[in-house]
Amino acid sequence: MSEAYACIDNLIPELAIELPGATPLGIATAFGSALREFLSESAAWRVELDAFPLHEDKSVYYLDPPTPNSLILYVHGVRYMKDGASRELHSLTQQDSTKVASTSAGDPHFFHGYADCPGRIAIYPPPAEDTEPCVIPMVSLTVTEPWDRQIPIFVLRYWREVLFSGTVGRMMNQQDKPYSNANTAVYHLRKFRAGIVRARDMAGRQYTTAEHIPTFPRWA
Amino acid sequence: MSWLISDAVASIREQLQDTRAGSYRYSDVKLLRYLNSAFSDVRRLRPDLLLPTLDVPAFVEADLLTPTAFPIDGMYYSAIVDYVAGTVSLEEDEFSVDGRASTLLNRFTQKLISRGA
Repeated sequence: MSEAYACIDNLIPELAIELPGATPLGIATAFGSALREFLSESAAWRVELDAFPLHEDKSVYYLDPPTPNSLILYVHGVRYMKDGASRELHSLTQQDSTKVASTSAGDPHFFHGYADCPGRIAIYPPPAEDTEPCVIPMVSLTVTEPWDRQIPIFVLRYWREVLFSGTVGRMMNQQDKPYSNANTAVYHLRKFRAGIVRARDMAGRQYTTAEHIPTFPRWA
Repeated sequence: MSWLISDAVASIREQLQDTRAGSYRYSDVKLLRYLNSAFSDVRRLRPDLLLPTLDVPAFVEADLLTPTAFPIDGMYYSAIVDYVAGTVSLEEDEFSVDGRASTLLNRFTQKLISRGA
């Protein structure tokens, strides 16, 4: 995963042109809100974490975000690797005590997450002995709170205009400001919402395919 | 350009034609009191100008002797000057001009909430 980041300060001059009378800190605050909304609703910042080992009779594991300035939002899936082959663990949408109780210690088959702690997962059944690094989670990330004004380059590469629309739309939607403009706000917020939907779809397809055509973008 | 509090007081005095040092009509203490109330109104109308803390600044005479920075974006410097000059002009004395006071205070509000001047 790329760990390159850009600072919001580099983007503020371009945003300030659209928002006369807005201060740099106000623009940065709105951009941070738009970025958090975009990442949480689209899950577009999707990465595979490094493989970690399982431990004897241990089911619950805590995942670390890949960089200090990111947080784990969702766990989309977990792969288990053994003897050179990998398979997906089944996701338990709610803890199914019947399924869990029926599997004795051995190779893992199930996993589930915890809503109150997104970086925590439980893997069943627990192994009978310690293993080599063999479990690879696929997670989506968001920025830390409070935001450190850093934007992943990866997100900017694909979604720069979408985030700009989210920022400008939010600010133009404010009342009694020199940059208030309800009509243009609607235009920008529509672009933002459409971008979130597109990002969710592209992230789900690992940025490689679309539903009806083999490559992204369509003109490539 | 980065403004200072002392610049703001000097601009206010120019607005009020009160620039004769040693015999000011309005004391620094009075102007600073109105300046502080200007920032209270900024907090009411445009809290985003006081990010990230939203604290309302309060200045004293000692701030005029040191290079104390103007606490909000320089875009709104003239709005603050208009507010203080307008508020001073509301005082009941022989130098007050009510119409001018009203114009200046409206300019303050318009500069904060719209693109008007």
